[in-house]
Amino acid sequence: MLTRMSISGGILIFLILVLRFFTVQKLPKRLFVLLWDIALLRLLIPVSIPVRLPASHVTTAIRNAENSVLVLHGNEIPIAEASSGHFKIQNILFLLWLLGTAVWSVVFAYRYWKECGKIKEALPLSPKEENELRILARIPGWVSLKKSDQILTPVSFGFIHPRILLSSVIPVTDRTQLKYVLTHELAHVKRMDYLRKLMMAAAVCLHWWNPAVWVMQYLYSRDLELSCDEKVVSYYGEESKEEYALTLVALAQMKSSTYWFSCGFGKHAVKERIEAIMKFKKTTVLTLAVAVLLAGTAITVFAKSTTTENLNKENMESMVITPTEEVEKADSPELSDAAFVASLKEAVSNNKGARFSPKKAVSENEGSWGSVKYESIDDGQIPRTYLVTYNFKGKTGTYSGKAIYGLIDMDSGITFSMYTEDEKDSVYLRLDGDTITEITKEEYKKLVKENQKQEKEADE
Amino acid sequence: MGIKLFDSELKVMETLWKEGDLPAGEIAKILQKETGWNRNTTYTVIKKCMEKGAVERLEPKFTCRALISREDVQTYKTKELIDKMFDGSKQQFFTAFLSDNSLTEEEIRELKELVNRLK
Repeated sequence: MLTRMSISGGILIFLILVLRFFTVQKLPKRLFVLLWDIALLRLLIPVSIPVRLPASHVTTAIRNAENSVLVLHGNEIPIAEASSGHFKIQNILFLLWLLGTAVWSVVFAYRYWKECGKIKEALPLSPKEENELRILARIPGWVSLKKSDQILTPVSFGFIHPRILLSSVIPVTDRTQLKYVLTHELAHVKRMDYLRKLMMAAAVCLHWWNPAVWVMQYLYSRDLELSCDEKVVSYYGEESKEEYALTLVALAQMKSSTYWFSCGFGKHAVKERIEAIMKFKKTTVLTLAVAVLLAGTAITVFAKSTTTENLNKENMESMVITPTEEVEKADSPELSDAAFVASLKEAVSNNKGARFSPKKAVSENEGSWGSVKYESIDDGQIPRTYLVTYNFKGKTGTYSGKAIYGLIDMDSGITFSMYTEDEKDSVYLRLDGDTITEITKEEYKKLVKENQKQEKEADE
Repeated sequence: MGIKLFDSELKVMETLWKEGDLPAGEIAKILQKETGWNRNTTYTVIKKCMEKGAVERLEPKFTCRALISREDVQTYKTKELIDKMFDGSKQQFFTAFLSDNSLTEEEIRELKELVNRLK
């Protein structure tokens, strides 16, 4: 699932990258921050709420949920005894990923801890000086203002108790420059860019093997700077452009150390920043329209990929669930979908009234067929296996070629229903031990009711 | 001799010079008022002072004693600080090649020209 998140996130990153390459000096920088935000969410949120879904999908989703409960319940054992080569590779890859994530988490945590320490050691300014600066750049009381000799350029840091730090090694003495610098840092604080950097770090830890995510981390923090530059210029008016650009040049003369979490000033690609500042124009209707259009597209892509994501997730769940030896034998990836369906149907009819054996889903693409093994484990007895052929697209099950609408296991009392397009042509099944019988809808309903009654009594 | 201290470390030393030997807890209380540091921060700074040999810790109650006098302290010179921090960042092997390093005078001239050209 993480792979899918990473790949769809990667595609989004790539698209933003292409867009950025061509239009970075033409579109508002805030747009790029927004686009990166979307990509970041894509990377971090495993299951997101689909924006709009037709009613039928919702029903499917609910039924799927019911099914998955059963699936998960019945398959603890097969997962535990997974032994085939395919799963070994998956396990190794998973362990590798885990190791990388652990290593990067430690690296980032260490860096964070170091930076945190430096910043906490900052000293207060003299009350007079602090007051002056607060008035100069309109810094509100909830943002603390300090100085430190362990940084070279001003930085902002923190989320709950944000602070802006000035460097006492290379003090910015020019009042005008100071005003711009502080306004820039304040913009970071107000936009919670610090939180963005933290989340980005988390995304890098999780997706460390994806180069696109590293590229994104670099450009994200760069665009955060550009976006705050934009804010400064729009705040002080276009006349301030030149002054502000020269401030950047002045600050760029100071060698700056790189911070991973703090939002530093005068770090990234000064040239690009200066160009962006000098080319700044008030947002026109046209750029706004383009921006809205692009953001809308990105959001749609985001929503769409999550929807398919959900499908894929279920798909994968069903796939992962049947790793037994028998399954491996039945597994022949070259089999066409049609041939597989035929063989499954045959298997089902041969097994009519007899013991069910597990088979494995073969084809991975949506809409293909597979079978899912259900096992009920009750009172520590030997797990019993049910076979239901399974259509990933419609989430339907078949029995002897007919769609299953409901299934009840008389011994365990487990019932489950599947989604079928047409109830008329579907069957209801009753399981007694290894025997399976077709029953009518009325019989099924009666059995379910009785079953529920018994459960209630048992509870009482 | 000359031990080089950061401002934060100097702050701890100043407290010790002013008040004499003090338990770490007391220093934390004083500095909480003066600088807004929390306990842990103060302890970390005290530890750094100890590592630099400016402070020793005595029992009981982690009493801290200044080992050096005001005359022994040197502050870092600006250039040293810059080199110190910059070297630190150079070692950040993964970001080093991404971050723009210091600019040469030539580059700064170019940037200023760029501003003028785009004006």
